[in-house]
Amino acid sequence: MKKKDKINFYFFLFSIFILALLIFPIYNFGNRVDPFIFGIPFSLFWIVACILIQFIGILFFLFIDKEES
Amino acid sequence: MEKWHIALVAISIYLVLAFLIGIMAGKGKSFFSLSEYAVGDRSFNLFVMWFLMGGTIFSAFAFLGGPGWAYSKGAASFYILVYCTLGLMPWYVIGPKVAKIGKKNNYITMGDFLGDRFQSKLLTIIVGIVAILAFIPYLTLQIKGMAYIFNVLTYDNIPYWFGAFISFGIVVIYVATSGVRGAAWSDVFQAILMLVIAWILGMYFVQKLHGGIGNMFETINNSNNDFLLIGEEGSAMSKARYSSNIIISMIGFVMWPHLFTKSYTTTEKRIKTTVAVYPIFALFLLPVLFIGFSGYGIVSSDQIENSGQILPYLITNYLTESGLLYGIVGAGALAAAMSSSDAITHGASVSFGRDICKAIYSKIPENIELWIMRGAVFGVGAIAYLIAIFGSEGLIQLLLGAYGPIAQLAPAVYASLFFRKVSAISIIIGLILGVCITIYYQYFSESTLYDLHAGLIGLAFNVSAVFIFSYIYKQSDSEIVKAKEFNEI
Repeated sequence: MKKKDKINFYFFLFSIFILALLIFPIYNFGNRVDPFIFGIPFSLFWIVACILIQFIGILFFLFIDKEES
Repeated sequence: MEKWHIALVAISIYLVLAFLIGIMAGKGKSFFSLSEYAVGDRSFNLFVMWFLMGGTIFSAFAFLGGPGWAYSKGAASFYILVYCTLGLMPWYVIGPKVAKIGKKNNYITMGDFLGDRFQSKLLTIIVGIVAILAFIPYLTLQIKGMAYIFNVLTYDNIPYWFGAFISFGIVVIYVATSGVRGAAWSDVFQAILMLVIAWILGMYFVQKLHGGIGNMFETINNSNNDFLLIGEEGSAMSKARYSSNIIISMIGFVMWPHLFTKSYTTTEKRIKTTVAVYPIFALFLLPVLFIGFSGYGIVSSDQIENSGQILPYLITNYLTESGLLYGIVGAGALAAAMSSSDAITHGASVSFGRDICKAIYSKIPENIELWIMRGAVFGVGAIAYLIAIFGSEGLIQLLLGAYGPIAQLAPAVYASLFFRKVSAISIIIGLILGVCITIYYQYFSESTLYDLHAGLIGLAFNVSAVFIFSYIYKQSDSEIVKAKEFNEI
């Protein structure tokens, strides 16, 4: 496998990971109201946290891609 | 001077600005270049790309429908955030490939791309038709949004048809003259405006009606324990439906044909960066949901006809101090509707010119093709406008289903890049089968299997068909060459 394809493959796995966090059954862990964090219910906080993880994750991939080219 | 006069002045100033920016964007660029009209000579930077992509998604649905969902369905509205977050992710991998091969072979649409890979004019035409069938209802919704905003905020003084005519008319003119560049630059302006307004409104209503975000959610939770959850007894959506909605939007999101055209406007590197910064757009959507939540327990459901009216209701009842504020809100909502419709109108015009007209009569010279596209801006615009203003409620509901089948294009796109053996005929069979199954579950069946999204069931059949028929019908020689080229890009 070429290095570029490898990065793409890892990115694919990363996407599936984020997707899994946001749908059932794993979202069962996030799907509750308590505790309220920064005033928002945990079910919403979980989603916001995932968005941030995703953002940081993609930045990481961009960084690797840069190194490569 | 009455309050709605002030509001009208504020909205008019916004419209004039949007119009000027849209028109000026094309200044100094060649008016007679097809590549400039369709893909901005493939030269857009990150800043413009982000707003172009973001503004397109942040539509009248997000501004009116988002609060409506939060108000009536609670946690099910989180789906909107998740959808924006995940939707563009696959683009990180396929976007650069699409852009690279598009630049090499001079594509400007999705139909170009798929038609060339599978060496099938028929496929190009099918993609063009599917695209336009999906674009028109989408536009219709935006136009209804514009008409509604004008009408409500001027206390019925501007008739329904006229508000939509003015605001959508402006979109049509700047898209026809400045092409994708007009859409992009006006999106930058419109997106900034609506984001600022969304935050101000969200914070304002939460503070005024509940005295803070924490208080608001606790009040909601105390009155209904399940409202902020998915799949519980008092929740509005089942777990299977919620999850399958998310999966189908992750697959379908990047299949919008205009996205292909947009990805030809820039470079591979910028596509990746756009995907990276895109989730931030989802966070900007949060206050839109807060607006809806703030109405819960304050506005009883018999005070409004449908949940989509929650924002206008809150504005007209709880934001009564100043006409100026009123007008600014109206401008923000119009901006949301207009920034989606410009990109879609542009996409439809390019699809019509390239995927349908050019595919049928391949001898059309480039300058005529460009004029066909410019004409199609008016044609498609007029059809969407007429349906929005004169179409019956039932007709509009029917049309809305038309963009469910978009996700059925996914097997074709993924196969073109990753699976060399897949043949044209199997893709066409899969696409048609998938669309039919989706439509069946959408309109004719009482319920779907396990309460899954209709599109996901269609997709299962679609993929199976592609798989099976690829073994039965082998590729032609020219297809094999193309398959290799696409696979190795």
